[in-house]
Amino acid sequence: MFSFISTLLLAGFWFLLAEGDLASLLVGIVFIPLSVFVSVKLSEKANTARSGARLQFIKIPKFVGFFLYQSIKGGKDTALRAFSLNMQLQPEFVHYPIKHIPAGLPMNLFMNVVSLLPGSVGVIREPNSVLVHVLAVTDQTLNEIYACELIVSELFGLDVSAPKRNSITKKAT
Amino acid sequence: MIVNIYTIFMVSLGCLFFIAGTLGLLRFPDVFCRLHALTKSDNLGLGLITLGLLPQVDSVSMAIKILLIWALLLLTSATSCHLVARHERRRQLSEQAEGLHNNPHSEGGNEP
Repeated sequence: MFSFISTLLLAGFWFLLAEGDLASLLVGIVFIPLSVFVSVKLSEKANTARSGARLQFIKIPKFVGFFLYQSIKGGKDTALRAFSLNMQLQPEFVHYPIKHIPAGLPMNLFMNVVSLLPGSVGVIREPNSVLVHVLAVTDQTLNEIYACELIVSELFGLDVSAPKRNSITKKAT
Repeated sequence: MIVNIYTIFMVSLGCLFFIAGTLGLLRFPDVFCRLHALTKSDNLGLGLITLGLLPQVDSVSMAIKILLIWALLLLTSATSCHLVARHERRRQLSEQAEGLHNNPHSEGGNEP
């Protein structure tokens, strides 16, 4: 069932990108099955890591709003640093303990959105935390990562009232 | 006329962010800082160019295509940023481990 839906979706994507040109199927006949194969393989892996998280469609507009706002803020912040004479960089690694998000799709999304926050890039996932690289550490940076975690949790309908596992954020090497 | 001015403004602003991204790539000190410049400024630049181009399209399918390209590029940029950062971090850690491993040799002097 999943492979049937993804075949339909990916073939639809192909025709949208190729503007319905049938001659493009000469290339598509190879790449559409290839991408179906990859998506089925990856979803098998994601299914094993799933832990009851389901996407809440009603929360998508709020997430998109947050995403756009952070994109603008992050882009502006980095651009200003790149143009300024004194770039004010104090790059450091920070261990951010994960409080609510399980492994799988929610975690992948969280890692990608963290990279869009002003001044932080998700580096590597550890069992209970993520290593984040920041351009300059402030209290605000950590609060923003937490806000990001809350938004992603909300998007997947996760319980955020659970006690925090560990609220200490410490510097890495 | 107003639509054209809007497009010119948004695309120019988008290009400015792309220039900032490239400047950051050249000026920032290490791989991680350079990733900051590339992911954030370029994503915003691309978003502005997309928004600037949308009023110029003549069909809905073309508009969907442009939005789809934007979404796919956001996804690839975030994923490749994460992969490059992870690889660099692992390289740093293995270099540190190698350094620790080699240190006792250097302290103990050269070949007997």
